Amino acid sequence: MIAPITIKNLTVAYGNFIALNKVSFELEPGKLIGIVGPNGSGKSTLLKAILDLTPSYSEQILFFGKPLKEAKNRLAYVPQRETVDWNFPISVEEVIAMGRLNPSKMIQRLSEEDKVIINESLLQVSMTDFQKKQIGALSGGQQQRVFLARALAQRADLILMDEPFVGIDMASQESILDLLLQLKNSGKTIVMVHHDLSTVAQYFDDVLLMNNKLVLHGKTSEVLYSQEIHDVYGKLFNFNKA
Amino acid sequence: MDVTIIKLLVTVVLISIVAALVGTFTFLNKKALISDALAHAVLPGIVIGFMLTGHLTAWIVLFSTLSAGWLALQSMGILSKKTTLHSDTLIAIVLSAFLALGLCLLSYTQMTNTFARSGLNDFLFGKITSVNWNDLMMMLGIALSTIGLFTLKWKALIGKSFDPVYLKVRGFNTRLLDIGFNISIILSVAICVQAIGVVLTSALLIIPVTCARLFTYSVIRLVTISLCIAFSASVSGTTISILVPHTPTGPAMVFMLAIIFGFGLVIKSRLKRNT
Repeated sequence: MIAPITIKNLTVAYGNFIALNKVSFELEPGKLIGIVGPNGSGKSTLLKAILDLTPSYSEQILFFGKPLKEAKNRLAYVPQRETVDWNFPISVEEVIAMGRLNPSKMIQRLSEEDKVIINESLLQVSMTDFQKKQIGALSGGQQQRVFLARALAQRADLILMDEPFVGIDMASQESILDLLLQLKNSGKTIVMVHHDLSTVAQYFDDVLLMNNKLVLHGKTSEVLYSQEIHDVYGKLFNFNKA
Repeated sequence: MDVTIIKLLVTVVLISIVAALVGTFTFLNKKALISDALAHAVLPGIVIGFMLTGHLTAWIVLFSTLSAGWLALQSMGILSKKTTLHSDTLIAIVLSAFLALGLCLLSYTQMTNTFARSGLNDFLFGKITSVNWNDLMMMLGIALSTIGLFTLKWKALIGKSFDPVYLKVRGFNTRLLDIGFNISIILSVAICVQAIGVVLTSALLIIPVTCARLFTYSVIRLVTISLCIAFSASVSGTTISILVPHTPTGPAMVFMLAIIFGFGLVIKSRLKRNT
């Protein structure tokens, strides 16, 4: 199986501040992977850098063995909640239809097949009853399900999410998690920036522990019981006390 | 029907179509302030165009508007990259700097002999009745290309307004979409300034869609309702400016827009109370 993401020596610097220092890793397919670390440890920056949304230096960034340009249709990005304008006049159905847009086409028109795929995606995230609703009229959990449905409609194999659980109640988190597990079982890889350590064990197969560099990459249990996680979070804790 | 009236009606229809389309997307992209800055920024361009050539044909207006608008857009872009200023601050700076230059140049040209018949003053507050057949052809061209751009790129433009990062990750050339959209804002300004004037042009782009947004969350309906609002305000405003002597078209139209918006708010609050 080809690794969904392979990265060699990725560095991001803002002026003199090094946000990410020589990060290298290879992810395994069909897993739910968490990017964790304290505030300002470069979690979101990592996601943005590999998607070329922020300037970076690297030896290699490959998606399914191919450079970003050739793999774009296989990956879907789910933005951070606070960056979305929830008042925007767009319906659930229209958001999901974005997944069927094709950058290589001059005119974007939905085919019958596209419409079937959109309906399937709606069904898969149990949002069919809400398809005509404006996106802002939904709860936080429902909004995340709509974004996942867009990734499904796109037929993406790799879904990258930036803090999808911020501001979402526990019950909705559980139902999104169920959905993510289903997607994982159907062979998709999900990579997620996550800040809540208490749920890490329950959510992820593998974890990338960040602190402006990759501190540790491994199975969730290994990372959670490592010395490194104490070092990373302990330092912050002492700093706060001081 | 009188030829003048037909000409006026065609002008109003073309301006309303462009204002509704471009205005809706300006609103969706939160570029209301930028469109205001661009409208003000075209004044020095038009005056310089007149100073260099000695007359103001439709093409000179178009070319001067495009270059001045583009220059203003670039200066805002450079300032936002090189400084830590908030966008509203630097928009205010660019807007006033361009308008100040335009007003200085306008006063200067007022001393020349050709000024009286130049119609330059009409660009401040607009004079829809001064539109001639050449202007009308230019307006038609701009309207058709605007309709073309928005029909071809409708879904991509809505997607980009809502979630630009997603589209970029998917491999859409969001920069090119942005450039196309910016040009369409400048072009719409180019045809609106003749009727409304630089000071109030952005009102015709923004007020109709803001009012329409009270009643719908579908983009196509936003455009349709905006079109109706822009058209009725333009027709009533123009009528007032013809019937009441010494009333400039632009302010009359914008005042009508404000009244419609007020009505919209009242109707909306009534609807809310009933549901």
